[in-house]
Amino acid sequence: MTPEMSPPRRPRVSVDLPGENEAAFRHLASRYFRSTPSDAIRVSVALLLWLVRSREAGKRVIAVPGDALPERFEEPVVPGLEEVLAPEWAWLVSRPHPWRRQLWIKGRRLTAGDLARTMEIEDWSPERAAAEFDLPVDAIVEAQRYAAANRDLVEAEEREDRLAAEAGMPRASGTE
Amino acid sequence: MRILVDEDLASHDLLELLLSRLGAERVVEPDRGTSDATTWARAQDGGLTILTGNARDFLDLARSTDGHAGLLLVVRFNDPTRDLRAVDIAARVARIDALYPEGVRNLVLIVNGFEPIESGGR
Repeated sequence: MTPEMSPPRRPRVSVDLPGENEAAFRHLASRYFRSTPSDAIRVSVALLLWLVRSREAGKRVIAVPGDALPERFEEPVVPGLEEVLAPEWAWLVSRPHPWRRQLWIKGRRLTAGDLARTMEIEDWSPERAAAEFDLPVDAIVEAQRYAAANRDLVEAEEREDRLAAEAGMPRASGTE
Repeated sequence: MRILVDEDLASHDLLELLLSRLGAERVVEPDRGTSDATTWARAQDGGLTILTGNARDFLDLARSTDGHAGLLLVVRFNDPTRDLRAVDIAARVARIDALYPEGVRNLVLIVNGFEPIESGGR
């Protein structure tokens, strides 16, 4: 007679949580763990264990900006978190600039806002704009999405350019 | 006047329209991804007038350059009744070219303010 196979036993633990903790777990679960609170709890325990063991080993656990990482470090990788926090833009990059803050098309001296505005003015489809600027359609769509999500910034920078052009630039005779 | 079209405006459509208006030897395409300062230096070295929508940065460069090769600015208003399409830009650049047969050395002009020269084609 074959013994009946049963799934490995998973102990259940009941914990009383304040309402704000429960809300936080549900938010974490919803945003990062496909709405599965037990996954959020498992990851939380694993991260706490890592933190405690790091401290017990005499290490420090700190947060630093991504461009200021020390030469040697450990970093926990959390499935779920990584997918959600992956870079939002594949075709757009930030560039140091004295006053512009909007993103640029990667490898080009062309802002997402300028590209999206040109498309509006010309009434171009993404495919037409891609052909006009020798860019992938995905880059065009991403620039449009960025410009729509950052409309205030894009318009402020257009205004900045407009004011600079209009300030003290004499119009030649024979003009409108 | 020979024109270097800045990357922010350099659609194939605008380049072709300018080529048809001014001729191939007078329209120069941008080097992609180069800085404004590099573009400006290239224009000054080659005696090229820059056509750009990037007013503020190129105005700063123009102010710091004695006897520059000229700057043509396209201003955007976020207003479909005032913003220029490529065909409108080319028609106004043609007008500027006619008004300034000796070129626009040391001048900064707003392209929007010029009457277009109609080509009859588009």
